[in-house]
Amino acid sequence: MPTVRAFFAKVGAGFAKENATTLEPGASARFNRIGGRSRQALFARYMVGRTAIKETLCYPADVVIEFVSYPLAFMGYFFFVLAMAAHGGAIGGDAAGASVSALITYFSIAWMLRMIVDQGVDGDVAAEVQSGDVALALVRPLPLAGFFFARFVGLGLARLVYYGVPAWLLLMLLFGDEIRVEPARLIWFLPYAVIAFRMAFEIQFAIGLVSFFTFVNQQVSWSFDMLVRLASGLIVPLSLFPPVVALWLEALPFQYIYYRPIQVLLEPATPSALLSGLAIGAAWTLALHLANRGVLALALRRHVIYGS
Amino acid sequence: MAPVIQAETLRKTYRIRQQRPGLGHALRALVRPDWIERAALDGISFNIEQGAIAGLMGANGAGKSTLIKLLVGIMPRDGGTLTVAGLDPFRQRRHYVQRIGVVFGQRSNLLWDLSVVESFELHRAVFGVTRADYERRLAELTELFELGELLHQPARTLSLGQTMRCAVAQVLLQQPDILFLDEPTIGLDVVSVERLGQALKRLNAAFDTTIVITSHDLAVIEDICTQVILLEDGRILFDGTAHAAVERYGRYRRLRFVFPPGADIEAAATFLQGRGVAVTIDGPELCGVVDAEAGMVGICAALVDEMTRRHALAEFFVEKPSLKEVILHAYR
Repeated sequence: MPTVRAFFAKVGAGFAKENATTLEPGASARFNRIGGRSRQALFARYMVGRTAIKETLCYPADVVIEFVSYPLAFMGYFFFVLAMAAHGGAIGGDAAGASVSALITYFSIAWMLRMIVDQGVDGDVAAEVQSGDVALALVRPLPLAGFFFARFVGLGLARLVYYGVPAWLLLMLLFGDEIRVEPARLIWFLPYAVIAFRMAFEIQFAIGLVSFFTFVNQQVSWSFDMLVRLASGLIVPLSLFPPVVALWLEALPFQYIYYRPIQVLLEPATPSALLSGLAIGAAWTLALHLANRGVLALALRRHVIYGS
Repeated sequence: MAPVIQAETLRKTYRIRQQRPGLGHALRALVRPDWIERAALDGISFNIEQGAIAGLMGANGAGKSTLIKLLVGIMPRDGGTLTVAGLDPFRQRRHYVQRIGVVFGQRSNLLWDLSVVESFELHRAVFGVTRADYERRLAELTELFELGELLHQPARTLSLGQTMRCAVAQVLLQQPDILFLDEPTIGLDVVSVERLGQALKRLNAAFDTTIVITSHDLAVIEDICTQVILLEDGRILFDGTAHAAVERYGRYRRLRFVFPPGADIEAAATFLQGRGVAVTIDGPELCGVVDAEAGMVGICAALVDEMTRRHALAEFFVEKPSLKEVILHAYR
């Protein structure tokens, strides 16, 4: 990636130059300083993400084993959908109104997204709190959430390359006839996927923050993960839930992780509906981000780091 | 010279949940937990000047680590004022940590799986060190801490001493105004401690970096520190130069008894302990520290007489004790 490296090297050099000329007061200097700081912060995040990717390369066996686990999970869905379609009686060739092809496509994309966004940030934050290593994180001039998100982005890219793309190719090879995606809808899918990515991070980070208060968050993490799987449409598309339950689940933000982005690919919708969905998803994500900031500030005020 | 660290009636209290034995107590605690409050820092005041090497000493639980955590801004204080380099460490943490370097002896800030130089590169980016400055400092620090061949090794393959040298070098890449070291000598062998101490002295001399260090290794404190702050139960017992500490406790003397082979040193030790002298046995030698003010000559004469008569004493010395021995004696 010479271009990316060159860009960030330039950013770093720009920061260095501005850093040396930011001591003078005045609006111009202040602007420079803010610009320099932003660029330095961006460079720092880039390096955190890059380091996270490098760390994954230290244990290739882990990558291979995790890659194998996802197709296994997907196979379960595939045979389940086929069985529903074959023995559904009233639903005939469809499952609750959804065609086999739509369901196969739905679960393929859902699990591909899952491969990228399910990174266990909650466990990582809890491990830092429990070991006291959060002390090291706090003496860096990067916000704790910013540091974890930079890692999340780096690992997300790595997981896209390690798991997402190969899994998609494998699924296309095995079930290519059943998987149908309209390429034109990808333009709308991408911003939804970005929202899904950030929201998944905020939710995992929020669960991680629980450990500042309860010290151990394993059960919270496990229970919340089950809720997210269910309420986000990973296990069952929200449209297949009983109407009352679906109504409740649609009032929650979790649908923006899997259900909404996939619906964008599968179901036709008007641009205004897509835009408003995007705006609501972004608003939920922003609200979660602000809530996390508040909770973290509270946590740091009351948290005690024991030991040396 | 203006102090770079100013603490005034600094207070930190921990609220600790009590756990009593028995299932009944455990069940009761679910409804009515039992809390106690313990003052880790009980209104302490001190100053540390720019360019000083200040040693925080004290027994376990004295408040050293709590003080370091307040000084580096990762925990808020409950009372008093604390200013470091003109900033409030906790409230202005993100800005403040740009100016300091922190090493926790029991936690490594190196990337476990990657080479040391990868950790350094990440550190450079996070702290916004320019490439030119980084290259120059890396060369200096490689020489200062003798890092040469360690730079391209994964951190997990380093010994404890090597890890500590790399960790200290890493935080110096951003050339901090103040360096905080919390128990950096834990687990290090004598040679590593000596090398680290020498490197810190050279660093202080070369860059006028203020260094605040906590260590159980009082020999290190005595060797490198220009200022010593002795804590006990969250209060300051002594604040001054290492030399002044020894002078202040100078009324103490070390008594060294040397016995011939086959002598019952344990019995001699028991005898001394029975007279209120804390002793250590080192091969054929028995050492103890006594308060010399209260008729030391008489005490010594009586002890020597007794030791010669009952335990075949071969030689006897009266010496000035090390700071470590004085502290140990004071705590006992």
